[in-house]
Amino acid sequence: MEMKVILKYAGIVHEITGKLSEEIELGAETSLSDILRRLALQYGLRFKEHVFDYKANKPAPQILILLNGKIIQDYDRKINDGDFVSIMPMVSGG
Amino acid sequence: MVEWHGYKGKILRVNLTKKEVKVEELKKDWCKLYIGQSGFGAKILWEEMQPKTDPLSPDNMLISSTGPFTGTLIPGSGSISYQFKSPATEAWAETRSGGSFGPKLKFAGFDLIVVTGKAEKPVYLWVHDGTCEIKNAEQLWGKTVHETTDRILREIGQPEASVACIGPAGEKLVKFAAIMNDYDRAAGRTGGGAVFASKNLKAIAASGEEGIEAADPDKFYEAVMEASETMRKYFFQELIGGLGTIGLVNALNAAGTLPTKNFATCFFPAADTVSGETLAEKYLIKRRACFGCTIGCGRYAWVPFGRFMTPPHEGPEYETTDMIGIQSLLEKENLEAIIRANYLCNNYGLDTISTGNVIAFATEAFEKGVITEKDTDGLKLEWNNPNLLLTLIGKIAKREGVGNLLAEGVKRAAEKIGKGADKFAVHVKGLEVPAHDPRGESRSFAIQYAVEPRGACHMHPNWAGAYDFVPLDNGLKPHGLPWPPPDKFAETGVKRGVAYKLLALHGELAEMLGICRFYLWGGEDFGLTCLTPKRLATLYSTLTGFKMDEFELMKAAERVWNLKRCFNVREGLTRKDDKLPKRLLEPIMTGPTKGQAVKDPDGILDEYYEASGWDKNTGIPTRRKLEELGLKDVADKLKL
Amino acid sequence: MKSLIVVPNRCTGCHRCEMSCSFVHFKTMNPSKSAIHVIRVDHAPIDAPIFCVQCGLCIDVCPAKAISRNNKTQAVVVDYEKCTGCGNCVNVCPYGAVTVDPVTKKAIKCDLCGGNPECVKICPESVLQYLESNAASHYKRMTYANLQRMELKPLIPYPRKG
Repeated sequence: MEMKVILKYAGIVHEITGKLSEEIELGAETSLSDILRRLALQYGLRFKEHVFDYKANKPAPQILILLNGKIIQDYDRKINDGDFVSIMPMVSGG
Repeated sequence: MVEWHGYKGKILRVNLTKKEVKVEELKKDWCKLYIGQSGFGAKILWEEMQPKTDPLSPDNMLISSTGPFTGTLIPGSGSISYQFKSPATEAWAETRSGGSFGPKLKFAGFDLIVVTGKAEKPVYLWVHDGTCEIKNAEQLWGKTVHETTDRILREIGQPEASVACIGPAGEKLVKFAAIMNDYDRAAGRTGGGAVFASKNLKAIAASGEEGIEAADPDKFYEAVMEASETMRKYFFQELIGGLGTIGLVNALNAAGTLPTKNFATCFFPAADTVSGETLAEKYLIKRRACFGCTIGCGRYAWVPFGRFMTPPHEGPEYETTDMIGIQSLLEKENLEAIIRANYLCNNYGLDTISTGNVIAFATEAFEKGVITEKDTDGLKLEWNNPNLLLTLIGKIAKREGVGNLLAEGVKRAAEKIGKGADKFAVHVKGLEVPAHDPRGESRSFAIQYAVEPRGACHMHPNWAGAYDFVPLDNGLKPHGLPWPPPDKFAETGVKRGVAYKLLALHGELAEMLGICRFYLWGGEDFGLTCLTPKRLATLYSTLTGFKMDEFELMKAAERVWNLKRCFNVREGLTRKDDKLPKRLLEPIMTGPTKGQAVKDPDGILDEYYEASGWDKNTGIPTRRKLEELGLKDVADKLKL
Repeated sequence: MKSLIVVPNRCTGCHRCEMSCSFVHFKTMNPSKSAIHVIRVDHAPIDAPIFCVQCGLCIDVCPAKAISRNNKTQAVVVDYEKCTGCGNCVNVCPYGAVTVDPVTKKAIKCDLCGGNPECVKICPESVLQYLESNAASHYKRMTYANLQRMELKPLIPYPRKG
C-alpha cells in the first residue's frame, strides 16, 4: 500500500536540500527514522552533519523535527498517509 | 540631592491644557517595587487615573517611560514604552518600540514623561537638557511621519535628536493608530496615535548630553561584558539577526503555524515568495539595529522599480508580512506590495498588525455577503488584490468610505455590521490577534491572548512559544519551570499554567527594565545564551545600586503584572473578557496542523488562574495574592 | 603596530562603541563623552562610526602643547592636565573626531585605550577592528574608495504622500 508523505523544510535544511517542500511515496510500516535515513543518503554528508545523524538516530542540535506540527522524539514512530513531516531550525517569536 | 544610577531620577509632567511643565523627583522606593518603564506607568495610572475615563478625552493620561537599563551599555537597551487607557479596548494600554527615542529621553535627563490635558492647538514637545518646551505644531498637522520627523529635526536644529510622532491616521483618531519613532520604529498597538491626537500632541522630540552612571562601575562593566559575550552566541542570531523577523515566514510555514486568510488556516503554499530569504535576495539594502542592540534584526529595504516602487525604509517585519500580506493576499504572492504597504503604514502611522487583521476581516465579510458594495461605496473587496490592499490602507488612514468603519477596529466594525460578523472578528478585548496562532504554535498563546491586560498580544508580556514551541527554559528552572515542556498542543493537565506564569513574569521584567524582549530566549541545552533573570539581577544591582536577586526581581514583575490586572478590574474587566475569539476555536483547515483547534479554553484558563492566585470564577486577583505582593491598598480600593 | 579601522557597510548603528568608550574613560554612558561617534542617517541609509585616524593635525595647533603622540601605540593623546579647552584641535580636525566636553572643558579624543581598544571589544558585528598595519591599510583604502563610488542610477524619487 503506497503512502504519500509531505516533507517541509526551512532554514539550513532548505539550503542543503535546495527545496522547501517535497512529497515522497513510501510503503506501509515506514517509520520516521526510515524517512530521515533515506533523506540523509539522498542529500549526503551535509544532511547527516547538520540535520539528522541517522547513525546516532538524533537530529543536529538546533533542528526540530515535527510530525503534523508536533515535536517528535520517537523516531521509530510509524508514519501515516498524508502526514506532514517538518524539518526545520529552531525559531523564535517576532 | 539623591544620586541616581541607571535611573535619571526625574519625571517630566506636562499639562497641555494649562501649558505647564513641571519636573518631579522619582520616588526612590518605587524602584525596587515597580522597577521602571511600564511598572512606573502602572503605578501612576493606578493612582492618578479615574476609572471609566474616556480615552479620547483630555482626562486620559499618556506616559512615555523608560527603564533603568534603557540607554545603557546593557545589550538591547533601546526601548520606549507608552502607557495610557486604550481607545480601542477601553482598558490598560502599553505599547513599546525600539530605536533611539528612549535612550535620548534619558540623555535629556528624564526617566519618563506624563502628559495630561489637551492643547488648544496642535503642539509638539521638545524635551532636552532637563527641560521641556511646548512648541507650535500647526504647520505639521496633516504631515506624514517621515516628513514630520524631518521638519522637527530641522526646526530644533539638533540632527542627533530622536522624534516620536503620529501621522495622519492618528490625527483622524483611527483606533489602531501608531506612535512612530526614528521614522520607522512603531509603538503600534492599542491606538496610542489616537491618544496623542486627542491631546493635540503631534510629536515629542528628545535630545540631550546627560549620561547614565553605574553604582558599581567595575562590577557593572564585568556583568555587561559577560552579557555581551553571551549574546554573541545568541541562539536565534542567524534567524532574527541574519534574516530579520521576516525570516520566520518559511519556518513557521513549515511548522504549519503561519496564519493565513483571516486565520482560516495556518499554511501558505507560496510562503517563500514573501520570505526573509526572498527579501534578502531582492529588496534588502542593509541590516540595522536599535540603540544598544547586538542582534540587529532591523531590515532596510526598498522596491526600486515597478508599480509598488518604495523608497528605502526600515521593514517589513514578520508581523507585517503575515498580517498585511499573507492574511489577505493568498496565491498571488507579492512581497513588493507588502513593502509598499509597510511604508504607507509607517507614514500614515498605522499599526500593521491591526490594519492587516481588519482588512482580512472585511474581505471575509464581503465574501460572505455580510457587507456588500453598498457598504463599501462600490469597492469590491476580494482576496489576492494588492492594489485593493493599498487602497484600503489609505482609506482607513483617512477614514474615507469603508475606511471609516474599519478604522474603528475589528471589534467595533463587527458590532456595527452585525449579522454574525463577530464570529470571524479575530480579537481579544478589542485588540486584534497577531500572526501567532495558539492552534498551530503553542497552547500557551491561548493563555496569553486571554489574560494579557492590553488584549491579544504575541509579545506582551513575552513570546508565549518560548517554552514548548521550541524547547527553551530561558533560565527559569530555578524558579520552578516544569521541565521538560509538554507537547505544544496539550491543553490541560500539563502544568501549563505554572509554566506560563513564569514565562509571563520574565517577559514583564524586560518590560520594566527597559530592554528588548528578544534577549530573553535561550535554553540550558544550548548554552543559555540569553538574559536570564539571574543575569538581569546582576545587571540591575550593579547598575542601580539597588540590590535585588533574581527572585526579588520576579516578585516585582508579579507585582506589576497584578497591578495592571487590577487596573483592568477597576475598569470592569473580568473573566468574561478573557475570551478567545471564535475563529481560534475552529480547526485549522490545511497543512501540517490541519484540524488543530483550541478545545478547552476554559480549562486552560482555570489552570492559569490557579497558578496565578486569581479567583477562578471572576479572574480577579485574590486579596491574599495582592497582600503577598504588598498591594493591600489596591485590594482595599477594589473592595476585595 | 596596529591601527583602528572600520569595515565599511557593515555597521548596524547600534551605538555600543560610543557607550563603551565613554564608560571606560569617564565612567558614564554618554555619547557626548565618547571619542567615537556613530552617524546614522535614515532614508539613505547610512550607519557609520567616525573616529580619530591619528593623523596628528591637532598636535601643532594646541597652544598648551597638550597633545602628543604616544610612543607605544602611536596614538595621538591629550594630556588633561595641560588642556585648556580652547577648541583649536576641534577646529582643525577634518573628521570631526575631537570634541571639547562642555562641562569639564577638556578635549575628548581617541587614545586607542592604550593599545586595547574597548570599541573593538564591544562591537557585535566586528565592524571595528584593531589590525596590523598592512591589513589595516586595506580597510583604510576601502573607506576612501567608497567616496569615489558612482551613484546608482536611476535615483529613486522620494514620494512622501501615500
